Parts: sequence; structure tokens; C-alpha cells
Amino acid sequence: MTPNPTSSSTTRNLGIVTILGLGLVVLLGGFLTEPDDLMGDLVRIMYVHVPAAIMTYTGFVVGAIASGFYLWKRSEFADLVAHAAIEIGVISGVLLILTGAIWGEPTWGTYWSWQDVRLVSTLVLVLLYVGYLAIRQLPVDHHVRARRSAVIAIASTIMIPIVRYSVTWWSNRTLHQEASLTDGKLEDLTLFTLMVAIVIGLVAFAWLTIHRFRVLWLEQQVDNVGLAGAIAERRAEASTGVEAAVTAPSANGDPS
Amino acid sequence: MSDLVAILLAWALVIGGLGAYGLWTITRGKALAKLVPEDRQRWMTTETTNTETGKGESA
Amino acid sequence: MTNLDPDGVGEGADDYRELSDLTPRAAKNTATGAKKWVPIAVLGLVIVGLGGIVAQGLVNGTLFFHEVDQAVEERPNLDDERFRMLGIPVEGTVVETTLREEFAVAFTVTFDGVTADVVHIGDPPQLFQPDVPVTLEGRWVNGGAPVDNFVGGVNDGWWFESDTMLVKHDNDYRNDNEERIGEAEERSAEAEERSAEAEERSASE
Repeated sequence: MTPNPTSSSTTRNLGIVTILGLGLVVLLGGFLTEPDDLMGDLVRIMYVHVPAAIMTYTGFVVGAIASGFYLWKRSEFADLVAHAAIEIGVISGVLLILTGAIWGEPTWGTYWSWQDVRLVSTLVLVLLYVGYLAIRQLPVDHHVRARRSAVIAIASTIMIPIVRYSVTWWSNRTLHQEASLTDGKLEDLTLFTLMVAIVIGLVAFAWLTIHRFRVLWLEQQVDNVGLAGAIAERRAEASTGVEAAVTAPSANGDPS
Repeated sequence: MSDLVAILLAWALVIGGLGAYGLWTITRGKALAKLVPEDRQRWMTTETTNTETGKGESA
Repeated sequence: MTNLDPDGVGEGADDYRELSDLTPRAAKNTATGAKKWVPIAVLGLVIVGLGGIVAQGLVNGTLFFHEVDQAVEERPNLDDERFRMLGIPVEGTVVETTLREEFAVAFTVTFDGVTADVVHIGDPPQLFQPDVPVTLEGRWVNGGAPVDNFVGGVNDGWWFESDTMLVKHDNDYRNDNEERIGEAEERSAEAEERSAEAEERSASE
């Protein structure tokens, strides 16, 4: 089997922990924890919904820190880390919104509510970072792209505290419950399972970010290789053209 | 939608979505690695590089 | 560059084509319009989406939101204006009925000691039950309620006609009813103890 070029011992270990941990979360969250009094088994959606939320926030925070580092040191490495982390944050954010909708329909009575500050602010947050990813795809110079996107990544973090505290600030304007983790209202095994699910989510986040970073690095290298190759080929063509001009003046020196 | 369907759908979306993304990065990495000289895949060529294979054990 | 396939048939064919394209990258991006338009289209959608959310917020902002006590207090000013009301359904008040030939539920909600009678048209959400707060959308109506008497309700002629009900679940995930019952029993036992003590005191005085 050919070795996976974006793997290393670290990512292999992270991958193993993710898969084993996922098995444990399925066992605990799917079977061993008790259903909730009010919403019954639907509470089990929490074990994927909350880790998706943590991964979303982590992606955007890591992205902003890396972007700050880029602006400070002009490090290409930091720029690519920001891209990788934010991309995973956006994917987690979409999954967060989708699992929330699936959970919301049977419990609140609706998939989505435009009056809900938590839901709407989360959508705004994810949309801002979708914009970040789109801006990264515009054909501009690497440095311009990195600088522009770093500023957007940092500016967009303004939404994170709004999303986080919306349920407290506007508690009557949201169907969403307040943070479950910090108020000690969860049962022992439920809390333990949720903690395990969050830790595994973060390990998976690290695994994905490292892999995605390496893919982005390779893409950058391919760009550079492509450019170097094109220059070399042009040089070769130019010298052939000179030879051709010498031997056949009618060709006017155009490369053949 | 029954409760069971909702639970399975939510779990499948998260695990399947992130899993598919992980697989995509690996496939894309493999395709791109063919185009890049190994000395420029720097996480594979640190000071612990294996001189026989040229592959490193670094993180 | 050893895995490239210049014959254009193998796995590396696309890579070869990509690498043997001599046009600089940025120029290539401008040349192949489709690639450039995708991020622009996505950006456009993001901007439209964000604008839409702001517009939606402004529209929603015009819809008043009141807790039951405020809604009752504001009744003279609200007239038949549509607004949202937050309240807690009272145990033992929920009755099935019909309104304009549609299934409906009649019940009473409370907030901060003030109660109001409600008729909600349509199936309530799965989690609708006493003591779990709901947000209702509708308007005040005076008289002509589909039920003669709201069980345990205010019955002053005014009732709230709702067509949208959302359950506001709290984060009190619990899985042992016994514990809740136990706590409730403890509280009632304490109350009994206190009243017994009070009786004793009044008897001795």
C-alpha cells in the first residue's frame, strides 16, 4: 500500500484516537445514556450537535489567531493554517445548523425560526466565513489574498461572542437553551458522554486541520512547481527560437 | 419524521460529513503529492528523515 | 514530476496538462472564466444572504414581543395587532377543541403571576406540555371563544388566538422522574412541617 503523503505519526495517532473515541461516543451516546424525561431519545442528538458547535468555534478562533500571526510575521504557514481551520469550521457550522434543525422540528415545533437570535447569529457567523473562503478563491496574488483574508478572518470573530451570549442577552428572543455545560444541569453519565464527544470532536478537528493544511501546502507547491516549470520551458523555447532564427530567417524567430 | 430517524440522520450527517471531508483531503493529498518533489513536502523531510526511503517520521 | 503522463491517457494526464500549460497562473484564472465566477457567485450569495437576514430582522423587529403579564397590561394599546407572547402552560387547563373547523387546543398560560386564556389552531409541537414555556404568535380576541369555559382559566371574555406555537425548552436535561417527584415530595413535606409548626405555635399562644 502506498503511504499516504499527508500522513505522519502524529496524524496517524490522532486518526486512531478519533476512530476509537467515536466508537465510545456511539456506545455511550447511542445506548448507555438514559433518554431525557421531556424529549426522550431526541436528547441523543446533543452528542453530535454540541461537538459540532465546539468545532465551529474552534475553527474560527484558530483561524483568527493564525491570521493575526500572518499579519504579524507574514508567515505563509500561518495563512494556510487559517484557511484549513476556517474551512473545517465552516463545514462543522453547516453540520451544526443542520443537526439543530433536525433537533428543533420535533422539540420546538420548527426546523428554523427567523426570530431566534441564536439561530440567526449562527447563520450570520457561518455565512461570514463562507465569504472568507470565497474571497480566498479569487484569482489574486498570494500575498494580497493572504492579507485580505486575514483581515476578514479577524474581523468576523466579532460574531463569536454574539452567538455565544445571545441566549443569555436575549433569553426571551430565543428558543435555544442556555449553555448546558457550564451550569451543571446535566446528569453524570450524560455530562461525561458529552465531554467525551467534545474531546473526540477536537481530536478530529486537529486531524482534519493538519491534513487539510498539508494539502493546501502541496497546492501551493504545485503552483510554484508549475511556475518554475513554465519559466524553464520558456527559456528552452527561447533558445530553440534563437537557433531556428539563425538557421531559418524566414521563421522570424517565433518559437515553433 | 420519527425520533429514531431524526437521531440517525443527525449522527449520520456529522460523522458522514466530516468523514467524507477527511477522505477527500487524503485523496487530494495523494494526487498532489505526485506533482511535488519530496524535498518540498516538508513534514516528511525533517532532521529525522530516513536516508533510505527519504520519508521522515516527523509530526 | 516523475508520475506525469504526457500521453494523455493515464492517471497523470490531467496533471501533465496542468503543468505543461505555460500561461502564468493568475492569467490562467482570468482566462478560464468559470473558475473565477464561482467564488464571485458565492460571494454574491453571501452578501444577498446577509442582507436578507438584516431585512428579515427589521421586519421581525416590528412584531412586538410580550410576556403574558405585559401582554395583558398592553391589551388596550395592542387592539387586534399581531404579536408574540411568551407564557407557561398551566397544568390541567389543556382542552382539545375546534376553531373555524380546524383542530385547536384551548389552554391557559401564565407568567409572573398573570394568566391568560389561549386558543391555538393546529397541532401543537411534540414537546408541548404544562410547565414548559411556549412562544405563541397571534392576537387578542374579545368574546366568541370556541370553548364555553377555559378550565382553570381567567374566563373574562378575552382570549389569545394563536396560529404559531414554538416550545422553548430549557437545558434541564434529566432522566429520572423519580428524582423530580422526590424533590416535589420533599418540598410539600417541608411545607406541611412548617404549617404544622405554625399550627402548634398558634395553639400554644
